[in-house]
Amino acid sequence: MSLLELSNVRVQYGAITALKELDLRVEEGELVALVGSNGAGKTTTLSAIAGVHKASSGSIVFDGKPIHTRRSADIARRGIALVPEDRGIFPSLTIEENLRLGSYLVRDKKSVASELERVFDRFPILKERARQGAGTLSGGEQQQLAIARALLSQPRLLMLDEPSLGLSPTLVDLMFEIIKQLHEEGVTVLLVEQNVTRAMALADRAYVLTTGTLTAHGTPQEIMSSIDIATAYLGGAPRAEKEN
Amino acid sequence: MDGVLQFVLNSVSLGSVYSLFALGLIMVFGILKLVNFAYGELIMVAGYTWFVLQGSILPLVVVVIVAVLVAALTSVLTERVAFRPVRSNSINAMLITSFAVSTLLQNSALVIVSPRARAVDVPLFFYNNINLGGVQISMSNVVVIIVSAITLFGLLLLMQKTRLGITLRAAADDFRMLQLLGVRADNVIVSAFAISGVLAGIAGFLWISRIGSVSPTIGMAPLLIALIAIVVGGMNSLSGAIVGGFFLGTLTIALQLLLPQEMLAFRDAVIFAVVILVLVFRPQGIVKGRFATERIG
Repeated sequence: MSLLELSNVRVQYGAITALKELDLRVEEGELVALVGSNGAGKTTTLSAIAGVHKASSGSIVFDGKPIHTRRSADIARRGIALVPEDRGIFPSLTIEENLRLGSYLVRDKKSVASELERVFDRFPILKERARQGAGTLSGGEQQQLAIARALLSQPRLLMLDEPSLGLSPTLVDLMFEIIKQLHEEGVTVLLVEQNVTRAMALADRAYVLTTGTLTAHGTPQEIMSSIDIATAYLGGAPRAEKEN
Repeated sequence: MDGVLQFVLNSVSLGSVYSLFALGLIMVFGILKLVNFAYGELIMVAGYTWFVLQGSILPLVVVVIVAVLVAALTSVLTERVAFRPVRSNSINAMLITSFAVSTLLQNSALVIVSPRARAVDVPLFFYNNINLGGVQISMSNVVVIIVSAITLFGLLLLMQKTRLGITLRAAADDFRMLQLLGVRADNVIVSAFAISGVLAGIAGFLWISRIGSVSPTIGMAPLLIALIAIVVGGMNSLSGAIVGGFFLGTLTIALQLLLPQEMLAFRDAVIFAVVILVLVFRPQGIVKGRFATERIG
């Protein structure tokens, strides 16, 4: 049984169909990449899984239980963490307070403390600036904080939405290095990326979305050989749809 | 010198009550972007609880605590019964609901108690003056300042140090993200309403002890004061509410002193004029805050 399984998921924003009958699965311990051009429905897919936007039809099953009717807080409680594209940092809180909210769901204080230590080892900059306001962080630091906060919830599935977006090349390298490490440590990751080469290099499997429709899936090698990535990237469909 | 000290004390006293009013209103506004027009009625409910219990053997402190709890409970109940069902609708639906709740509570008091004002027994020592180095200070001012200071300090501690406080501040920043971290929206909102009710209860007690009576419409002035205070102080942070409250309090006392006798009737008009002037130069209010301006239910 897959950890996460989407069957026939359709998402509408009013009259616009952002996602058409998507089938997708993520196995425990896998790193799955979801790639495609702007507006292909990648963010929508993550939003639907996290319960931010409800699927209008189809089912989303996590760990054997349907979650598509649940609220986002309840979905998070089942072990799905989303790092959104805008990072969702709380600017009026300190870094420490942001992290504290990450472990909101973890009751065991010891485990919170040890997890915090691991996170600080991984992201030393956050430890250095723990008492600083999160609103003062740079984009790269905010991205690190967002990932750190998500890890503190000790998720069974970590969903990252464009973690490399807007970062300098050095930070992009760092971000992919961190994702690689997390994967090696056994964290299950669903990664949305526009940086297709980098994402493919890390992923066990990948899905390619084109204007709300799945156009390819399989191992990175299979995908690279079977389809013309450029077409998928340029939109491919007669009309491009807007992604919210 | 006497005059200056007197002025400062009166301003601090009135300003701190206004700040508490404003804080109670912004508590809910910060998270739901809802100006809760039923807020004034929480003050009324606290006042009537005082009125009902004053004949009993309970000491004043206990009566006040019960009154504050009743205000908090009423606040939570209005959330549960009236606001929660319409929360997923537009902000306008919430706003209309708050008017409805306000009217309902006012009319309940009208029917159950009386349309006329009822006197509350303000303890006599409130009217005493104490002499501090030749300056006469009224006890009521002392009580107001001490109670407000404790309340403000307690609120600060709650917001800065506790998990609930951090959660509430985060909700004002980005409620959607908070839910993605597993925090249930209902719990956060109920807590905000409860704190709002506690603040309304405490400030209401101080307010009513100045007036000496409670009536069905007693909450209207505090609501208006709170609203103006948060608009002029800045609607996007708790400190804005505090600044706005003290600004209005000080302005009111100053005008009381400075305006000639025949102009005193127009004091409020002058206050509003000054408020408009402030907003012309600082449309965001005195304090620029960081709350999210977008409403995400």
